Amino acid sequence: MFFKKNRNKPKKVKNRIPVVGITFVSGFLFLVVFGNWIAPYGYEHWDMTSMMMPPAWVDGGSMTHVLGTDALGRDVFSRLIHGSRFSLLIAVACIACYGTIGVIMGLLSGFIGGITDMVIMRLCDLWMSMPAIILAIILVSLMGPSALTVVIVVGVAGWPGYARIVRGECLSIKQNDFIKLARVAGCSNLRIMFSHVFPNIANTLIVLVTLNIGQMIILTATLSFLGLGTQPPSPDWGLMMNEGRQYINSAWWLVVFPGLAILMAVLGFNIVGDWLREILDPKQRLR
Amino acid sequence: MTDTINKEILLQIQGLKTYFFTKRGVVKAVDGIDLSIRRGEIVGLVGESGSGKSITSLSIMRLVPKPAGEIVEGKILLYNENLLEKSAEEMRQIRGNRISMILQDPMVSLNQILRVEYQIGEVFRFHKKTNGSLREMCVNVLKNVKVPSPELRIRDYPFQFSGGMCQRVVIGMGIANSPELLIADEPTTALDVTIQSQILQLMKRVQQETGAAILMITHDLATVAQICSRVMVMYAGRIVEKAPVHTFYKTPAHPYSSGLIKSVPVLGKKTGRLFSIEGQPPSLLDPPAGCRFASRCDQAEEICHREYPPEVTLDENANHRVSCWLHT
Amino acid sequence: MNNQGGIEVKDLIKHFPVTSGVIFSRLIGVVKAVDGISFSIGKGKTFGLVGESGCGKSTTVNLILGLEKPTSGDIYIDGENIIGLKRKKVFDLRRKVQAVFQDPFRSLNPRKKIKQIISEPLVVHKIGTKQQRYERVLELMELVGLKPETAEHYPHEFSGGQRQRIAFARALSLNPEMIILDEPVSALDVSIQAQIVNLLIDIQQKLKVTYIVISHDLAVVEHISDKIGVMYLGQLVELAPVKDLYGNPLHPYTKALLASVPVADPENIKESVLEGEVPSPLNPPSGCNFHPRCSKMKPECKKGKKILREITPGHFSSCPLFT
Repeated sequence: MFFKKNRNKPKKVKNRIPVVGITFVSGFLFLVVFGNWIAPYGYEHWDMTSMMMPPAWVDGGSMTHVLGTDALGRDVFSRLIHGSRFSLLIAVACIACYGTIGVIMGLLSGFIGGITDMVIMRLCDLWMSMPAIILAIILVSLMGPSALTVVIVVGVAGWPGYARIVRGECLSIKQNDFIKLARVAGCSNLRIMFSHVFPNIANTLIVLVTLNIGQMIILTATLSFLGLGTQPPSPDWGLMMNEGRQYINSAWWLVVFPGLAILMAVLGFNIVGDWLREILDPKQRLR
Repeated sequence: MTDTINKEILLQIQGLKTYFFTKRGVVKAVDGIDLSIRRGEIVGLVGESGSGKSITSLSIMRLVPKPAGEIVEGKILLYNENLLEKSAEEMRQIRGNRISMILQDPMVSLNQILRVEYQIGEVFRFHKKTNGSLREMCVNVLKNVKVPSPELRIRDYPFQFSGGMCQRVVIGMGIANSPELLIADEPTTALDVTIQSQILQLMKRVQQETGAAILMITHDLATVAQICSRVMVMYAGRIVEKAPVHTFYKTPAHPYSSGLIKSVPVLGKKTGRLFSIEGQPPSLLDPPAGCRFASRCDQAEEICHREYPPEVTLDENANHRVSCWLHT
Repeated sequence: MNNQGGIEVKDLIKHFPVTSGVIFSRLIGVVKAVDGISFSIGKGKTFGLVGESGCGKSTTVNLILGLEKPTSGDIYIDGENIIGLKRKKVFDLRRKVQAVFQDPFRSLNPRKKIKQIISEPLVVHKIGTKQQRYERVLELMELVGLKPETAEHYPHEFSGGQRQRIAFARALSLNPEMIILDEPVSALDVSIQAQIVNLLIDIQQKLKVTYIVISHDLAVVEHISDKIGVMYLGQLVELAPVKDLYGNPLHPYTKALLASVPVADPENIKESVLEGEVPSPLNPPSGCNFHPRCSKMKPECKKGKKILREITPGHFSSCPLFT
């Protein structure tokens, strides 16, 4: 019962590459880069003669507008493609913003410790207790809704999450003797933080960022859906869903396709993020 | 301890091979070993990192890390039953009951957030050996291993114990169900020297009182000399020498054994440079065809590199065996 | 005190306050990690500091390396008091004192190639050009017995013993006068321990580096040291040249330690001589720290602070029974 198969052949250790996740992400990035050339129409291009056309495979649709058109005759397919670039740009801008703030705060907090740590952590608590939506509403009333508002709201509100995680990693890395030895060699705090600690948390950051992109796409879509973010005629996916909401019974394609696009992009990034976390874990390297 | 020679054989390992299947290839952690342990004897399994000694103990307990690790060949007989043919449920009945294991670092052997009473109680609860008050049985375990004020300390958490005390608790748990075999993997390495000698004394007493056999796995030749009656030396996945303890230290037959013994600094004898065995152990991914120690052995001959030496018996009475071409 | 190339520690004290209370913390106790120790060692010689967990040896290391500030006391390196030095001077001092720690797996930054690890002290102190530093790295690697072609590898590609060699090469890169070795071989296998011990001895003979070796392994310490100090609960209980300490220990704790060391000889079975455990440093016993566990305890052991007194030339003990 024990030795069922032939054990002398070395078992192939599969790497379990997430094909689905990578496909979605590659597709998304491909569209971002080459979207301009692939999209049959510009995102603002409207055509009063082809309003509310259904997708090509439904009665009344045609291949000129594969996924249908909206109330202004704008091609859904093209807008989805252009929208990918918008979503990614905003997502990256947000993450760059709060990521940088968060990492620096986390490093200072975790590495220097003492009063600096206490102050930064209390700041985190304060910041996190403020709902981003309220901040969004305040900013919108001050600056008017736009993509920039979104970036500021999210970029400024999101750093405590990163700071906390980076601080935790810092605390555990500080325990290693090579940090002590760096001090003994005469390294300054700054040098230790960026030359020794930061490279060791890089793995965690890569995973965090990848997972965050998905979150950001949903967040910006939500804000746009609520009217607090990007404004028409931007092809933001959330905005497309908002605009299509009122026609959901008659023109379902206006809501379903942007929704699917969001789903696939976020799913893709989440799967890839999980996979990266697994393969970048040094303990896994030996297996 | 020579009276154990005639006791029956409790555990017998025949031709055990445990391999790890990794991306880089097959790591032959244990590559064909035979050994036997008699009832009530304390046997030392000596080896350095990568020799395969810990994997041997995990193989006996059928706790080899999956999916990479697998026992690919061999038999492990507990009396007449082959442990490798038992079901998962049957093995669970054996672990902690007939065969117990204690590990190196007492601070991680115990769960820091559960009271000691709960953890000791688990040993009894799982094997359904609760007769009378469970609390009393747990206190008895602590009394057995000489933890002071056991009635008070039973409600403590592991972090309230020192390293030595934790190890006592772990040993207590290991012998709570009077196992026939206690496997101890480097039980004193993480402890201070004065605590080490207390723990070794405790283990000797445990063996005398319960009649359990102990398989002591360690790289420390001094520990082995202090409590074992027999010694087995492992190198690169194979056992190279088996001998009674006095014979081993007086006249080790394998060059690796004698090299190891000579490498240990002796208290009171300051000699300048220490004897050291040059080089490194071979890779277990691709072990050499012949004797695995040949590349570091100053007495190696051509045949040593070509063929693996068979095990020969040097002394039937003393049960001294060695795998070395020097003695064939 | 004029001690060229050597070190003198005088009445070094490090107390850690213990506070309690969530909103207003109040002092409820003091951990006397290092409670007044003094010792010295000359250039090119080795001082061995032995003791068990909690005796304060690691704190002593941190104090000598300037990683912590003492509560009081002085440390003279090369005749100069290093306590209270300005930052620039501390930076320069780093060139004189380096360290090797116990765990070979945590002493090296896993994300750096070993040539970067070994040359970092040179980079920080702006010594040499890139090419000169690289040549120095290769020179150091040969000195410690590493293959120069492995300079571009990462730490995880090396074994424990090899990693300690890398750490040692790094410590030597600045040509220090003194190296502190905190349990340098405890985490290594027996045959590798012997190799590293031999390496330490060879380098000291070649380069005349002063060593301070901290260890709980009495046999290893005996092998490398010229003078030994035995610590118990933050205090030095005995201080003597190596032969005198091992041949004629003058403190019951030292005797108990020596008697407890297991010997690789089955004809020499040791009985456990010391009962009990090291008490908590929050609440040390009165008088001599060791008296509750001492088989030779007398009433006078419970009272009065015990200090080191010279019993025979160069051999100090704090036990009142010998003074």
